[in-house]
Amino acid sequence: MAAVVPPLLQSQPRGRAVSGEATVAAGASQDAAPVIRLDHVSKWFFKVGARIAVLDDINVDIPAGAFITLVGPSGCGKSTLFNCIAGFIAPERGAVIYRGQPVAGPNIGIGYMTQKDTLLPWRSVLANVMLPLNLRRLTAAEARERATAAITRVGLNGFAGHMPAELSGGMQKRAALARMLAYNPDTLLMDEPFGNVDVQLKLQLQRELLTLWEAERKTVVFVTHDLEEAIALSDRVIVLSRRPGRVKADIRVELPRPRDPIQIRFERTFQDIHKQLWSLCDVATDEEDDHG
Amino acid sequence: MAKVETMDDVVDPAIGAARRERLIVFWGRIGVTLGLLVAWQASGAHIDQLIFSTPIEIAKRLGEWVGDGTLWQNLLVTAEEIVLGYALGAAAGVGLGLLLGSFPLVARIFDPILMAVYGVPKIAFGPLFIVWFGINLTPKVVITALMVFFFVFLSTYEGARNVDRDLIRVVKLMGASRWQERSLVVIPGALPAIMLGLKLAIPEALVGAIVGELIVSSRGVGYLVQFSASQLDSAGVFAGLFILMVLALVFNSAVNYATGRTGRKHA
Repeated sequence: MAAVVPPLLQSQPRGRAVSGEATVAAGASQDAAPVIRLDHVSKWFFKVGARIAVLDDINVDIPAGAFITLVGPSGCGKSTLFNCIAGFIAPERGAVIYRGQPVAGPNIGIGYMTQKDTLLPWRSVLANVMLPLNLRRLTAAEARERATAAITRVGLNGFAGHMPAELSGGMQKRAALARMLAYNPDTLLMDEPFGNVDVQLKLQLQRELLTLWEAERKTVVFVTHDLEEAIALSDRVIVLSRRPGRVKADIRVELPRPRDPIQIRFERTFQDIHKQLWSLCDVATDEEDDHG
Repeated sequence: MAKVETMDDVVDPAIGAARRERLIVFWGRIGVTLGLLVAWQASGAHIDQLIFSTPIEIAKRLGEWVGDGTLWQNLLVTAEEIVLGYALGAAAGVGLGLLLGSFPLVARIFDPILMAVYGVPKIAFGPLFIVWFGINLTPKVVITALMVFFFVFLSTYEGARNVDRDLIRVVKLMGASRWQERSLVVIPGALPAIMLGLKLAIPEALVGAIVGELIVSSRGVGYLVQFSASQLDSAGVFAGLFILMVLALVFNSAVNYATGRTGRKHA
């Protein structure tokens, strides 16, 4: 699957983010260059005349193939930072550099998944997964083939013809994952993708995500409230402070791969990091759910 | 072992109750309607027939109109006005609704003009349209279209505006162009609202056509009502109203059927 990377990104509209072709070459030649560089990113909003700082001078380099998680209290600007990387909003100061080029406009080199269900409700699972492939001008047969492969990979065989509303919550997540993987973006942005599912399902989806990630080593930026999830999945956990969001800590997770997200919890290192993260996060006043 | 009841033994009492209720409603409706008609007919001896007429007189008038072709001739005229006006108004409403719904800036520019026109009772445009388009088919079609337009436009516009922003974002990141965003997300997302608008606009189309005919006309069901009234022929007035009632029922069930079919696809 990973070997099949036809010049998908060639047909992208002008004036948009970066070309996939160029990026592969760049990634190969300069190995150490980060895929995503957050270069002094600051972001603020105006509310009733007052300036509210959301992100304050964020500097982070994310190397190719890394699994990075952002954690932090509600309103620390996790989602804002996320939307800056996706190119939906621009920072007031500083820049998001994606493969050497500043992001200006929707960054179509990336796959995007949120807590909210973003499958198009009027399309079947297959049609949803085929959508990004159609947009990249693959032939119908090719698109169908790759979409079917992606659906199989996330374990949804036999559900290709179902409408999203006919699926369980976990299956909808899998379908969204299949859609994201089908067009083989080289970076995945996941904003609390498993935020609203029960614990067992969450662990299962984490395990599946890790398996897929270990097979392809895409760069993943993952946002979560769940510290255990952050440790279990990632290479690095970046802790943001209360608003305005600053990088409070950048913790390396030195745990062996491949990991089992359940077993790994009982490792000594895991528990040490967990303790460290709890002390860093001001949990006493932490709230549920934010989309700021 | 416990005795297991088979399905034949057990009949959900709710089923029987629901059936009884349906029968009561059905016969109740027929009974009340007949009762009212009989009362009307019976009171005919005591009330001024010139004003109230009687069901039998009305039925006779309907029979005459069916016999001499008056009914079909006028019904056809009104139906044509409704169908043409509805099609025009609905097309314009869906088109402009989608356009403004997906371009908020343009919508803000047009908003005061549209709301100003919306605020005026459409009937008041009647005389103007007669000056512009004469007294035949056109002014009735235009007034019908105008009434239908606002219903369809407003619901389409709201539907397009309320399409989930996150769905649009996701499609953007897949590399969709602005046009593809519209065709893949905005239009299908607004479809239920569009269907609702189309449905609610049907009685409006009927009102538009009849009001147009009442202002000035020489044919149409509205004309039949107006003409009969001018002759102090109350049986004719009621017969005309009865035709309109049937017309409304037919149009409503046609659209219920049509929207029901497309609606199921989304369920």
